[in-house]
Amino acid sequence: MSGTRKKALLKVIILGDSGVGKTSLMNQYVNRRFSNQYKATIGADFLTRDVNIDDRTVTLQIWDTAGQERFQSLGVAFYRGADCCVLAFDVTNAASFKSLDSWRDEFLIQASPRDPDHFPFVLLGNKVDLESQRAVSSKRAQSWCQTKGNIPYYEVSAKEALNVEAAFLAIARDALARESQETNDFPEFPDQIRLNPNQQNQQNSGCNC
Amino acid sequence: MEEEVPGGSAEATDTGSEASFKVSQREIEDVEENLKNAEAIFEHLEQLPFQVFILSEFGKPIFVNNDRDEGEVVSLAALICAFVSRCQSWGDSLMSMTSQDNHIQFLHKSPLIFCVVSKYAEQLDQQLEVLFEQICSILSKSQLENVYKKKGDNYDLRKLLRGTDRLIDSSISSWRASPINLVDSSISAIPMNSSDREFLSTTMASCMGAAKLDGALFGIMIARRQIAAIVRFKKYVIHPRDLNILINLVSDTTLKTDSQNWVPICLPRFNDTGFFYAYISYPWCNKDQDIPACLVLLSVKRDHFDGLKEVRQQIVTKLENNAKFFTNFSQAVKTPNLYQISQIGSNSESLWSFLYLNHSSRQVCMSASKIPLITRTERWMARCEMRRSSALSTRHPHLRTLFVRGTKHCLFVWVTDLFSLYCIFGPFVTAAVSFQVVEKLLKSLKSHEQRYFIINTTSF
Repeated sequence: MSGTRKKALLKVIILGDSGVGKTSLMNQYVNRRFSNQYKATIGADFLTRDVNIDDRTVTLQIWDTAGQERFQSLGVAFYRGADCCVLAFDVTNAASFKSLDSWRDEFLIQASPRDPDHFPFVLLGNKVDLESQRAVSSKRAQSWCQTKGNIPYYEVSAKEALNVEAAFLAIARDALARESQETNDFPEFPDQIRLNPNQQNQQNSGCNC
Repeated sequence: MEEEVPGGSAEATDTGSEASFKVSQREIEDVEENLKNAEAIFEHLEQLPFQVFILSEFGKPIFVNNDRDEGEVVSLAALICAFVSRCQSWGDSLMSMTSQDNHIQFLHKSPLIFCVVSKYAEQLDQQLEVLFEQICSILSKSQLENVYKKKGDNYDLRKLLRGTDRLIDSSISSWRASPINLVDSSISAIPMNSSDREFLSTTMASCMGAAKLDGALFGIMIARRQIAAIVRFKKYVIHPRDLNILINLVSDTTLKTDSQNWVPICLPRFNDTGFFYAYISYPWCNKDQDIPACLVLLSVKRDHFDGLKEVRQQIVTKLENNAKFFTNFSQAVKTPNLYQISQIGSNSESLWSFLYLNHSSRQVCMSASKIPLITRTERWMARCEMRRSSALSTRHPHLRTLFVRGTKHCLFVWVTDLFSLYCIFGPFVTAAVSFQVVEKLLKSLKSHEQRYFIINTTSF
């Protein structure tokens, strides 16, 4: 196994208000299951799924965090190291749409990615199966995306498995493209040992027994 | 205690393809398969005697042992990261958890997290330290600390470690297989006549010295994971932990050819910021002969390849030219003449196995296997007993002597400032008799000291 090209691994974090359907989206995507019952996520859930993109298999490590405020101090480790951030809102809930700005800001502060202006976000508007109760129009969501540097927007339904696959495929494809831009992985061995005369006398000093 | 199989068992291979389905496929079978496989992986993990995880502190898996693919434990890695970072956010650090017979040990060395889940509780913290140093030997600590700053927190460190899985794997297996070697940062010497060892050391030292290569510091002859001789520049010292990293490196089967290798390697106990360059050769592993001795010459200068190649040739020629030495040396390396308990003399029949550790030289001498500890399982049992005794004496530093009578065997432990001795006796021995045998053993070891230990490290 060693020496062969490893499957790429992408850390994907999903953020949004409590009840917008983050866990349902994950469950639909990973396990293809949907439940009408609402169960708040405690802390975070971790899910895995492989996707094939142009003959490459990519493993998505999906961090499904709790939307409730009392769980929001989960620490920087949750945000940092992410390859992509999925923002989710409920199209029938205008407040969840208004929170997107603060979720995005929170992410950028906590994760402090190297290039915050071009960090890959994706916006998912969930529950489009409840069209009659819609409170946020597709146009409104799209124009928000434009102001944030053309974030891709998908209208999805976890319940009806609508667009969920396509959205995550786009996420994986985008992150993979960024990853392949980094070509220089050649290990460097720049540091020469500078010999220190004191080292001559350290008789087994490193031993901690 | 059940047998532990280093490097995993045979059934570890067939649960691998968790989710290689196409995105477009939506058949329900795939879903079932996906869930079933995920469960199968956890079930399998639960049965393993131990499992090691290395991940970035942001939760991306980097390495898992037992020939598994990191892709299978992606969610688990995130969970480990969550545990560790949560405790960290409380200003605390998570060290271990125990659940029934599973012992889980954590080590957070930014930017990495190490975790081992094991059925054995002994010295897991030490094992994780050894693993950390193994990673450092490949990248150096400073490069490891900088890589995420340079490439971003989402960097996949497996790209830099590509091809080194087997080194990490063999480091884990050898740690698991040895009773106390790595744990106690010790080495063992290959048994040799003192005059032969002397000739070997002085030859290596004189050739290294004569070359006048500024920065060439150490020469080591290794065979069967044991040291035949070690020479050094002036008073520079190489730590046994670093020696074990080298032993692990040269034991990699891909190096065992008549070719020469030039490998950058960081020896973290010596210096964790820079690299040594190791000239590695098996001078007598070729079509004509098969003497498994490996000569390692270490320099801090990357342009010393040709110089050390020359040194190697001189050493080899001089050793071969001394026919008497060379015959003895080949013999000692091919069929090591380990310490036989019968050497102790009368009454030694009741002693089945011993392990002696000299504290000042950090060298170990273990008895040759004898009845009834002959088979793999029996020897494994003996190693487990010694490992447990060793863990016990580490936990209770005031403990000096210990005699434990068991139904199958008796244990005798003796720890002084100078040495630790772990013995397995037959079940019918008394404490008084075992003490007499041990005293004779110590005398015998003292009189054959130069044969079983490297007493002087020759300088050049």
